[in-house]
Amino acid sequence: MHIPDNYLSPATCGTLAVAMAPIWTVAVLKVKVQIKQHRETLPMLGIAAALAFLIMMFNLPIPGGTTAHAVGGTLLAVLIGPWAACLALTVTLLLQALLFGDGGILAFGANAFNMAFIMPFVGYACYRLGQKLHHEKLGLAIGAYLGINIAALVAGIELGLQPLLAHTASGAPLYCPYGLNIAVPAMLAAHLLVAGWVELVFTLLVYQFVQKVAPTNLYQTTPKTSQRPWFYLLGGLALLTPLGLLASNTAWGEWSPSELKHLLVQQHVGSTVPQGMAHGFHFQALFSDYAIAGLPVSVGYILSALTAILIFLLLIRGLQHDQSTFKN
Amino acid sequence: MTNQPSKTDLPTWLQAPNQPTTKRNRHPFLARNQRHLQALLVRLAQPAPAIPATRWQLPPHIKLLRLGLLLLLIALINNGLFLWGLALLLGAQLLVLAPSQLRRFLRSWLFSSLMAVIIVLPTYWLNGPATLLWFGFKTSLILANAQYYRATTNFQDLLTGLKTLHCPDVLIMTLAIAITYLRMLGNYLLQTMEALSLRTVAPAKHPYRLIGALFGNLYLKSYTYALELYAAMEARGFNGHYAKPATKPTRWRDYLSLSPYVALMALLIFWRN
Repeated sequence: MHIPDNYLSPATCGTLAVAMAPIWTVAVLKVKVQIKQHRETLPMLGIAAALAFLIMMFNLPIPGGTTAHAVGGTLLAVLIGPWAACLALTVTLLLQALLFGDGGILAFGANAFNMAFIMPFVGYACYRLGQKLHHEKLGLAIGAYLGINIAALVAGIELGLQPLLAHTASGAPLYCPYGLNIAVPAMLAAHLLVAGWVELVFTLLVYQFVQKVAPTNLYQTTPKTSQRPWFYLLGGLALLTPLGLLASNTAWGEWSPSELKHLLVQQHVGSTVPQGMAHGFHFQALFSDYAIAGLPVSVGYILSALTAILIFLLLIRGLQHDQSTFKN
Repeated sequence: MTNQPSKTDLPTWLQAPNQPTTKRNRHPFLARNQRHLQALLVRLAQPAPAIPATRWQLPPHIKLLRLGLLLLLIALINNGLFLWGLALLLGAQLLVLAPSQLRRFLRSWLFSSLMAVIIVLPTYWLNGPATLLWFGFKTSLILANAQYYRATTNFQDLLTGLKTLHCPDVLIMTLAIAITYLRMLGNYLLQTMEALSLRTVAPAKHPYRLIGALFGNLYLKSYTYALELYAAMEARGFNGHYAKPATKPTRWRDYLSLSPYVALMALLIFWRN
């Protein structure tokens, strides 16, 4: 999954490196907090990076006589925490690119995005969900499989977009020459059929061993003391919902049949709305387009957002286990 | 005359030709991984690359900047003449390498370039030979420059370069620990694999059964190393900062070495506009 140089345009590499910058910043801040509680986390980062390197170079036999290797993104996230895993995998990728020629130097941001961010976080989210539902091994297995496959899908999309993003006047691709129709299936097929299963088995086996031999060495999540920042974030987002009303045009792809007909005529594509859309199912919502009669549209947006947040919070609250408050 | 064996004859079981018994490897994947690991350890154990003794040595951060600029330029340039010029520049630099270093460079570069070309080979039938040739040329030039950097820069120089370029201390320290412990963990893994292959009498039901124990143990060993390392760091007065080794001051001619690439970049920008 290591994307070499010259497969992605410099613009794509730059964009993905910029996208990784806030993730790295948050990871460093989170790890600093982790270090205050467990001082060994600091050297553990470097040692985990070396461990990830060894995991990636260890080939496992697969049916058909060939071999494949695991990445260990989900495993590291479960063992040392997702943020520390993100940093450790970043260092491994940097080491591989600069000293061993595995993965590009310009494409480092893209590789970090796929393997040091998507993979450990998707895997860890599934593991935590499984842990909450008392099926942590199932959660881990699904996480390991999904993590590597989603990372492969994103890598396939990054590669497949190149012929659209960078080409000569005659249409010849300047970087990865395969379009989405080839890059995505090629990346996904290899990972869905082979690499995903290798990652799953590898993660489960090592996790089982560590859980059996030294369960205290697994990453323990610290209980959240305050949920206030999340409420501030949700409230802020709810207040910002009418921001889209500033745009003069409607959202792309959210046209009504009459709007679509107007656009088709304007672009000389056709003069009639597709049959399926004209005579399809039309649901009349209670607050259509987030509008509430008698109120300005922006207030309708904010009220809709607050209502949705409240409904979801009530749903989550209803699904939570009761905390034992018995006192002797 | 009877066919009695004389006293000096060897017993019949010793006269019989040896039947070489083929030793079946119980875990071929372990053996293959052992070979890979040994190769990695040899590579890590070797001293820093032999840098040709020239009077003018570029500081590590300038080398790193030059590599970044070069790779960006090659990725951006779509003019064959400019790329040819950059290839000539690299060729001239390669002339200064020691013969053994040059051979190592060529071997590694040819292999990685071949791999890159194989991946894009189907484009020959999809888009014709032009895309394949252009992509192959650019990719191999990028790989050659990256390979040249690896051949002429040791790990300490890389760390110094990153530190001078104001890379965060956490990252540099993690990188330094990673490379040191890569060797130690690699050694530990190799020894465990050797012990496994020597002591396993009956074949395992499935080769994957060993993986959990191998890497689980390796993780626990890493944890022990981390605790020991932190204790050692604290004992030595660790204050959370990476100490930069003393380096020579950057001179004007060091910056001048970047001028061809900066000029080319400027030319590229103005040419486009």
